[in-house]
Amino acid sequence: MERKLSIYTILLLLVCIVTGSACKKILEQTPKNSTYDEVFWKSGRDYQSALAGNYALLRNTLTNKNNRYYLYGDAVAKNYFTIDYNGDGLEGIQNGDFTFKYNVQSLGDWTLFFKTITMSNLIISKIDKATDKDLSDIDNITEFRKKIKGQALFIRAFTYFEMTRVWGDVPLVIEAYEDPITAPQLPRTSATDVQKQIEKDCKEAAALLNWGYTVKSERAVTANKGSVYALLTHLYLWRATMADLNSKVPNPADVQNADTTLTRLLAEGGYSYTDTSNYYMTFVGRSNTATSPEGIFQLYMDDRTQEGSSAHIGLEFLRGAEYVSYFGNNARFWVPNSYFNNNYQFWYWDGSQWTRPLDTLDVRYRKNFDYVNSAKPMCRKYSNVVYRNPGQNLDAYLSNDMVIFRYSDMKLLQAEIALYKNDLNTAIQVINESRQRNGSNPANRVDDTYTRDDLMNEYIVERGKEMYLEGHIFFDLLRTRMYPNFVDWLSEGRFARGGFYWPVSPSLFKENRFLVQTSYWLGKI
Amino acid sequence: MMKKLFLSCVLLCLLFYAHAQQVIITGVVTDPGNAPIPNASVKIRGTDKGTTTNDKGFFSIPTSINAVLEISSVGYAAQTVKITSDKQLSLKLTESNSNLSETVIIGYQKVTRKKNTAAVSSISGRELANLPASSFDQLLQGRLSGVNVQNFSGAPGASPSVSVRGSSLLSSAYDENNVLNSPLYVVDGVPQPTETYVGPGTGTGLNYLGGVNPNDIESIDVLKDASAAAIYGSRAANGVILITTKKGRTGAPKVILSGYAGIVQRPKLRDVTLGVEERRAKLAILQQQLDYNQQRGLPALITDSLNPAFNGNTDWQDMFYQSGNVKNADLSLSGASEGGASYRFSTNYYDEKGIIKATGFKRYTMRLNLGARALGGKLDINPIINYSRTDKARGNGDGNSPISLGASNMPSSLFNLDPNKKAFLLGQYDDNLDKNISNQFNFTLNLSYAISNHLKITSLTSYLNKNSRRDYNRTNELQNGNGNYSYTFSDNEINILSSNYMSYVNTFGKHNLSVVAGQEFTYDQYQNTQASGFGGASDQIQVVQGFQQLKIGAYSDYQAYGLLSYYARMAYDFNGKYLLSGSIRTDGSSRFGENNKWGFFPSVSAAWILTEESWMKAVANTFSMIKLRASLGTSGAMPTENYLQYNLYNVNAGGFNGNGSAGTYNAITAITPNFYNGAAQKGLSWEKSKQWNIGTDIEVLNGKYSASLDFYNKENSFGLFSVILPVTSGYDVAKTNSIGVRNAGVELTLAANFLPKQSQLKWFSRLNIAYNKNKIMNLPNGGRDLVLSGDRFDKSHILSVGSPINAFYLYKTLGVYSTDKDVPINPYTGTHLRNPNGEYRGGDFQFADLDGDYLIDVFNDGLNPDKMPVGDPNPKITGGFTNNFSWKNFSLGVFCTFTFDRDVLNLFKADRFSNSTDGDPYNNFVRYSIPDLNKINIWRQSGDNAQYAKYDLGTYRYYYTSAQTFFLEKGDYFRIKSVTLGYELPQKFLSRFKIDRFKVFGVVDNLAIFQRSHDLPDAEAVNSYGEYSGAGYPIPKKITLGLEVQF
Repeated sequence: MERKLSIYTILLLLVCIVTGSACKKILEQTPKNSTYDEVFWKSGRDYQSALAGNYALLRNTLTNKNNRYYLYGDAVAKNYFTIDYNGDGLEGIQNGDFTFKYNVQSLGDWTLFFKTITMSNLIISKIDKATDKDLSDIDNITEFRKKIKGQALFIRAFTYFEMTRVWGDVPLVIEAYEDPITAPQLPRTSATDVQKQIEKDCKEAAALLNWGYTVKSERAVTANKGSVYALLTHLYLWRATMADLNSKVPNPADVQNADTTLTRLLAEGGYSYTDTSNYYMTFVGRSNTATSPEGIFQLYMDDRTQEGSSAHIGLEFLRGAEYVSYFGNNARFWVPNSYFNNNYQFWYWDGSQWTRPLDTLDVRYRKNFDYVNSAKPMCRKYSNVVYRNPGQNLDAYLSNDMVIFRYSDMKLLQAEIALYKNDLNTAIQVINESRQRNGSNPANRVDDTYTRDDLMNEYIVERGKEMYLEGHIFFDLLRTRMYPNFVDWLSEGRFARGGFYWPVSPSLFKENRFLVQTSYWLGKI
Repeated sequence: MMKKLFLSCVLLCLLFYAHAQQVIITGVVTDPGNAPIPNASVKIRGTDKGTTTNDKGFFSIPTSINAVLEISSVGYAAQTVKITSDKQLSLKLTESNSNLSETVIIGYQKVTRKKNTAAVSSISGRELANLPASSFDQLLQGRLSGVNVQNFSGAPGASPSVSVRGSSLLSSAYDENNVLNSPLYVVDGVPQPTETYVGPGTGTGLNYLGGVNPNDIESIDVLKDASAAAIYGSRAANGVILITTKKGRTGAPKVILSGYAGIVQRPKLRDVTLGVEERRAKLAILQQQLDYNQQRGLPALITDSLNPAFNGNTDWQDMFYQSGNVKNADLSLSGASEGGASYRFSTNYYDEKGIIKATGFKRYTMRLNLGARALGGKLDINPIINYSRTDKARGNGDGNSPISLGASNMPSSLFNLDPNKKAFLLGQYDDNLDKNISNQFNFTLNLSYAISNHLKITSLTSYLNKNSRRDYNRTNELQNGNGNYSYTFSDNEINILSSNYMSYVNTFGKHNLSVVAGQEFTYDQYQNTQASGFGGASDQIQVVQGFQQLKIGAYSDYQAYGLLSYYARMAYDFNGKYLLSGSIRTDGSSRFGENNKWGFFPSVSAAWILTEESWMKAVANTFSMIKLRASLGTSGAMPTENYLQYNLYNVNAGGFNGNGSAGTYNAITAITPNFYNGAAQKGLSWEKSKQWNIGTDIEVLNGKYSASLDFYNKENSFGLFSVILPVTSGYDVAKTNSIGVRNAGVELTLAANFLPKQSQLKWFSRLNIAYNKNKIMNLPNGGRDLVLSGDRFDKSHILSVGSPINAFYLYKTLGVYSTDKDVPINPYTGTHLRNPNGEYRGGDFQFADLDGDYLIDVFNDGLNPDKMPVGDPNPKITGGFTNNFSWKNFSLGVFCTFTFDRDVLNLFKADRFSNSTDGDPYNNFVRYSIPDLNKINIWRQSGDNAQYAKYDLGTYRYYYTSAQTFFLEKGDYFRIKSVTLGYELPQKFLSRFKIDRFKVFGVVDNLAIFQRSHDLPDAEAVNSYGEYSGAGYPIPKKITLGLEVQF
């Protein structure tokens, strides 16, 4: 009896202890519904997906809030298109008032930019630590490392470039935080230092990346050496002209930098014009057989892989059943007549008098606009509509890439550089070549009777036609100081005080005592 | 370390193992009239051993000479007998109202009420039996002091909100399904998994407690203070509700059959104006506020009274209601053999048809509780098997509203419905499929082995398997002609628990000691799968088939967690006079990172029974017991997310404005860290709740009157809260242990048996009342106020240090401007007080300009200088009042509940007047129903001294915003919750038919409500944010008749 008892006791105790130690394991539960840092970054495929994630974050950033890329770059320039009132107050930015709460809280918020940058930082830090074993699924590991890192550097540089054009001074982070929870709050870094970092990143990226593309599907929608050079050209021109807002004389060193970079890009990039007969191809991005040869860098938004957009900037303009079957005859965005007057009218001696007709022969006039005789002309530059419900023609998506840099953009910049260098002949040649190519009215040409200022005006008019709704115009106007003719709200005084920069959303100040408001907006928000 | 502790504890206990002369004692227990008392408890003092009497009052128990037996039974005074020889005992118990000898369950142990040192409220399952409710938690309302239950929805199968001693849940985002933290439910020793990984809109939205049949419940004990709850450690911070189900009783087999059926009545509908009256009222407003041209543009609906399409008199509300019914049937079989084997089997069917079309709830349950003894009575084997199936029909399927029309956009009564339109609005109830089924299977095995009279090892193993399934289908017509939609959802959860503990009980002279120590592990795994298809080609297809590949969505999920615990409790008393108890528990959770896996939760409590002192003997005849007790302890809470310690990534993270579902970039799957809240939170630790409680229990005249009073203070610290991370880190928020909430209050329970013992008429009365005040003590980021995000447009809740949780955030309404001249003028600019969209005018509400800038700020995304934290949506005083009468064979129970001192924001009322933001306000005004303006003092013309501002037609001055104190109402109510009348047929008559008992009863549930607010249809039908939006399910009245037969 006594023995029996103790046997049972010991048995029971053993059971308790065995289960006790076995279930230590249950305290380690790993996620199966998500991948996570500890197990990710273990193959080349992971890096490719991470890089796709980085591009996707950039795409998300630039399309956020009614496609903010175009709001910063086009909408505030006012005379290019008009946003109708619908209650959200967005149209207010076209009059230079960036203080309306809903606008400053969205467009003044750089959170999404930093998510893109954080991703780049992460990829850069991870690829440096990756062992060859981690990347064993890749054929050419050395090349792969360069390609991944170069693109991440480019995305970071481009994101900072966009930020510094919008806000001037912005916080600068180039490290991947080991523990984001203990990450410090940062003040704004001066635009000069941010731009130095962009230049450094670009140079490093350019060294890592190649001209051209080995994989056809990556063409233009991922960054290569050409994309980096395009960015660098823009950076140099921005820095040359915007470092000192009180000076109208560009910094010659940066103009020279821009010139050499651009020359090399045009010579070695392998880019060319799209035939004007195939005009829309440039803005679609890619057809079944070919990619637009103009594309230097564009964000992929092709609905053939379900990446089109139902809120594309183009859809804000489109109206009428012939464009989208179920759209009515109203669109919120439309093109004011002043745009045509500014950009397509030209002086012409018809034999008896000076007239000022519209250059309706220009391909860009014909292809980019419709309902031109109505009160609200429409832009159809982006109108590659795909119905996801093709049976009933419902569920329209635009399958147009978001073009950031392209060949024509770069070609025109040649004129700007030439003008900064007082090389008027080159400028004349570039502008006329652009008109010629686009089938413009032969009477609409510039010649050596034009002064430098006249030519600068003609250059900006040409940009207005070529780069319409591509997120560049406003910055062009700032660089060239041509804004007074086009942007009524931006006085020279306001310009000199940096009044074109955006204020920072008050919500970002909540936790960050180092942050200061953009100087022009101090006390105005 | 823990293991060693455990072992040495065992060895220590073995040392106490002693021998004495063994005898078998038998006896008979009877009442004063010599009738046998069945089920009386017979216990050997100082041990864990005991038995119960059979239906002849007979018991038999092996013990030793000189042992002391304690005999007790509910309704009788306890007795003790010292064993001097082995002859049969004959014991007569005297009747008593005292319940001191009743046992309460405090987790892994039972103690008598007398020796309990913690704040515990208990009720017997008898109180809940045969009341028409779809789940037992609804019935807890008002019955247990300190447990606040609000049955805010009358939907069949709905879950009420339950909180013990206030809630401490703070969240920065508005989420109607997650406002209060709910207590831990423990059914027969098994903590129930409470995690909900999907919201009611995704899953079946079924109450997981709905599967417990109220008639199976033996008793419910609520552990309120930390000393009691700490033994459940990491999950006990919000109180623990212990449910014990009925077991087999010794004696002859017993069959109980009971059932009831009745009707469910819809409550009174809200006031609307109909037909001609509506047209007149609207035209009066329009003619006043519009100029001639605007009036010319008015729609024909209002101007063309002769048009047969527009001269209707439709009461839209009416169309959605029906009269419901409720049916319930219970069967139970129980008994026990002489050898100690017992059984109880029960089964239940409950069926409620709701008062809104296509809503209802069905429950089927089965429970088997077996008991057996082996190894010479040393091993107790007690398996429990439980299965339940619930089926809920939920109308339109929206988690919060059962009907398709929002309450504030009911169409105008003027529309005459053509049959197609009507079919469209109501047709869904016929053709719409929404089936929500949940199955729950639970197997529990209790093994306990008595090593000696003093030492026992218990092992509890439980396996719980839940699965639910939702099938949902909407026809082409309901999808606006875009093709039919099908959705299917299925989930499965398993929960495995093993708890092994040993208990030691002994008496050393006047020292009584009892110790429990053990170890427990829990593993829980949840998986779900869902699929949907839209734009289908055929209404007949009600599954996800036949949809184009592009229009099919699929999703599945996996979640798991583990919990490992060690616990111990020691209770000591000296001579039954000075009681001391302490417990520790340490829990390790898979939800925390390497360095913070373990949490430690100690508690201590003490009590002093004054009436045991010799110097109190003088009053002992009046005061049968006075006990003072105090406790202090810590319990915890965990985050609900399982994988916070990992740096989680988002796969298919290609979404952007215009294509939220894009998963790729350039056709390559995009993967990014979860930049919203996915940063690894390795430093996260347990929420801790530190609570003290002091209380007293008093019993007068052997239980004729009794009172219990508790004061407590519960400080939740290290509460988990999302804090904002630096924007430059790329991440948005991370959880930190950063908030503090205090709940403090008083609880009082008074009970009385007013009439003398001899009286034929008996009257038992019990009042319990609890006051709880909650206050936010700490917020992250330096205590900055936080406006809840995700709330409606007006953002009417705020978290603010010093204010209660989810306090309202409102403009202060001062009145209505009688004329334009009454609007204050800004002395600096000469303009009137304005908002960004214009100056205020006569007839508008006057808001207090709190920052004095002559501008009422309208922005809602964050702090607004013209709004202030005000009011408290959390009920402060809650309780219940029970009165039971019996006379001969009749019984009458009247049960009332009440809630006082609560503020309610009447969003519905605000919405009915607000038309300020609509793009086409006149049309909108004409098309939708309006309140009866003749019944209110509304501003009509300049000079009116009105209570209501003029009807807002697209002014953008937002003066009818719901975020203003004008719409704040008093939420106090007193409800006569149920009245039960019963009659038992006389025994003499029944014995002829071999029937033991035959009872008929009738219940009126929800008989009447008395409330302070005139505008709320039902002051209880208010969500946990203290809002009435008009969308919920009205609380119906139920009238049932039933009978109960026992063979």
